[in-house]
Amino acid sequence: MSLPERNIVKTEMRTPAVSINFSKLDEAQLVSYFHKPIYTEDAFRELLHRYQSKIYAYVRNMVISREDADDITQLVFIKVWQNLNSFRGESKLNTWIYRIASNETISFLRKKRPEIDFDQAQMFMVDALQQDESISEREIEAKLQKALCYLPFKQKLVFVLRYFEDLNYDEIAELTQTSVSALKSSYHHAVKKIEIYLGVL
Amino acid sequence: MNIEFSKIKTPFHPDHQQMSDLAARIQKKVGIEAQELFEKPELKEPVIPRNPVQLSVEFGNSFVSESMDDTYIETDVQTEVQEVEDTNIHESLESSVPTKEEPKNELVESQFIEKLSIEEKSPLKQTDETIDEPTAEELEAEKIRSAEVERKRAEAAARYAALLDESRADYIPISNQVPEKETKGLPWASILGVVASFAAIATAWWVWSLIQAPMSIEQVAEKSRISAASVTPVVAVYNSSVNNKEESLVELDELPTGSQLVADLIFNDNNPTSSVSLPHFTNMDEQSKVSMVELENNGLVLMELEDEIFSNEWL
Repeated sequence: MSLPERNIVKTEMRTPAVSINFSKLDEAQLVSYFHKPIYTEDAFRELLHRYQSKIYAYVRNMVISREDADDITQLVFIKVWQNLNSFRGESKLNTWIYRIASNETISFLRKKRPEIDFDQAQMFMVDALQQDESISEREIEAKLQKALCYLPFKQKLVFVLRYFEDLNYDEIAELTQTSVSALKSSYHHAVKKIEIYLGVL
Repeated sequence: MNIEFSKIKTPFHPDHQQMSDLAARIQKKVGIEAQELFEKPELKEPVIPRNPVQLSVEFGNSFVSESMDDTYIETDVQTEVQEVEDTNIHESLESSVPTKEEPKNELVESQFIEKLSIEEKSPLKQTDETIDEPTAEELEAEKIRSAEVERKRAEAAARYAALLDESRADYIPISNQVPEKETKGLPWASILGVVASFAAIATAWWVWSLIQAPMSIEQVAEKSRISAASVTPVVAVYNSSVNNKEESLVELDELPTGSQLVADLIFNDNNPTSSVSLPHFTNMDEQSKVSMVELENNGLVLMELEDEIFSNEWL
């Protein structure tokens, strides 16, 4: 897959005279260093180091399948590499990356299963869950994942962002372009359904 | 089940290798050099509990115990060595008694002898050197040494006992103590004690009386009735005394005129003469006349006198 060339004057990459500890930079500083050609790669590697595990876990909770999660995570960070120059800092970098991940997940599922209805439960994920050997060890965690499959996709997305990723309602509202009250209601209903399912399953 | 109270974790935990591979793929996709971003977790060696096995090395012979039971041998030897050391301590207590300084080699050799005798009981494996069986001469020498060691132990024990006896003489039992001489003079301490006890008793009685509840009216009346009976002899005595006093009273004629007027009142509780005539009044002395005026003013006497008597001289 060939990537479009970035509008960057190609110059010889010089090794920076001053070594910077990127692990100690905050989000704004990381983005500013990304804008500097000398530090772009290092800044991106640091960004990858910080967010890859989180995004992978989030996507995996949404799609269940390991292969699908790998593919979606790759797409997410490719999008980040391409669009970070245009990131203006109006929202948090964390929220921005999660938004990319949510959109990529939906796009991936639409491409893979054109018939999918995001307002309904995705029962095909139950099969993927049962085939995954890694989650059969802890019964309650597997039960929870199965219960999530019975939720509508959008409701599941809100629940995963709030319960597993610990995002607050403002961040989720910015990410999903939904009001906080609607999110709270959606989360509350999701929790009740899951508790009923866990009692039944 | 409340999932918010007891948070359930996600079961999807990617391992290190998976994350490293994914990161490498992403870096290649974006066109940068792939570097290792995720550090490998340090493999921690399993901690194997080790039971310490003591090794003994003496005189160039190394003995390695095969089983755990062999460790108990060391403790037995240590107790016996401790006994030998104790004898050495006892010897050092006294410096006056001349003793031969026990050479250290003999002590160590005695330990070695004891150890050899114990080790013969347990199957110990010799690693490097092989010990030849001792000859008869060596056995005899060992016996002599052991006898000497025992003799010295006995001497040391006897010396220690003697030391204890000497030290006991410094302490006189209570029963044999000489009583202290009594000091001359008043026993101030005992006097003070008696005074203090009396003061305490008085204080206690005073406090007790203060805290007593006040008597009710019925109790007071009852008490007064009782006290009236007890007071009767007193009254009788008083009455007798009063009668005696009446007998010793002065005769009426001996009283001055003014007093005679009220004699009846005093003796018989009767009012004095209700009326006084003029001739009687004129014969009175001055003091009696003044008294008559006082009596009339109090309504006790009525003076039937002519008005001309009451001149300004009297008023």
